[in-house]
Amino acid sequence: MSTNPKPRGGSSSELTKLKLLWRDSLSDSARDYWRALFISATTQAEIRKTIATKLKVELKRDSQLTEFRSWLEDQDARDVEAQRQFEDEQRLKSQFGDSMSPEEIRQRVLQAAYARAMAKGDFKLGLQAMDRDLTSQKVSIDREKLVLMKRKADAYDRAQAALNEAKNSKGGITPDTLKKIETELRLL
Amino acid sequence: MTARERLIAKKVLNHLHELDGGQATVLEIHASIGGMTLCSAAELDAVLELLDTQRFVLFVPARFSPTVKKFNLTDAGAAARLQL
Repeated sequence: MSTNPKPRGGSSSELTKLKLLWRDSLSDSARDYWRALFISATTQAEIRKTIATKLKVELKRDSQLTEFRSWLEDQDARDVEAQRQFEDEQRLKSQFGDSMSPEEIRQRVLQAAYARAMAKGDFKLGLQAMDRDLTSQKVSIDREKLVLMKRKADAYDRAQAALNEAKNSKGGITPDTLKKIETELRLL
Repeated sequence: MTARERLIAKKVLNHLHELDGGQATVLEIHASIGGMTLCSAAELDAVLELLDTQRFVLFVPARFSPTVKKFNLTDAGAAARLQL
């Protein structure tokens, strides 16, 4: 299993450099320093100057810094959710590890994650979960329609059979036969 | 890689690509690519192992737990994503 950082040879944009620095090289204390700076009253221009001085990354525009901060916010939110999912998994394992398989535990964790995402409303995952729910609801409704159609078809066949039997019998259509047909027709 | 592994791998690499340099845990990846309706936990773990072996992804331990891995896309993975 690989643990050593691999140099990237692709995109050389300053923004990408900053993201990779943040992801691969900065210590926790360094990240805390930068986070504190981002939420301070320091202007974006001054922050960019500090980044250029300390990290040797030249962000020429405020919009690049804004984009980086947005990316960071998204990554931090993912980290919080990742920790929550891990804790859910650990709790389920300790409580139900003997009776639930790892796959079942994974299913439960994912369901809880989808529920949280939908409650937040702003996480892409929630939309995927909603799509899935809507699809499975649609499938369920279609299935119910099919069952109902089959019941109607069967009821019609029985009513038709009763009618034919009555027509062919000596007594013709009796009150009993009529009642039978009506009962079947109530299903239609 | 089998066709199924390729399908799962493509979704994993696409998700990591969308993070634009960010990282994701196995659970997040699994949730994002379709959950249990797409593949089992064992299948996903196997595909991630494959991708790691081929250096398409890189993993580091998560800060909140050394047993949890966070994956990101490598340059080779970015190129492979387009070919899968």
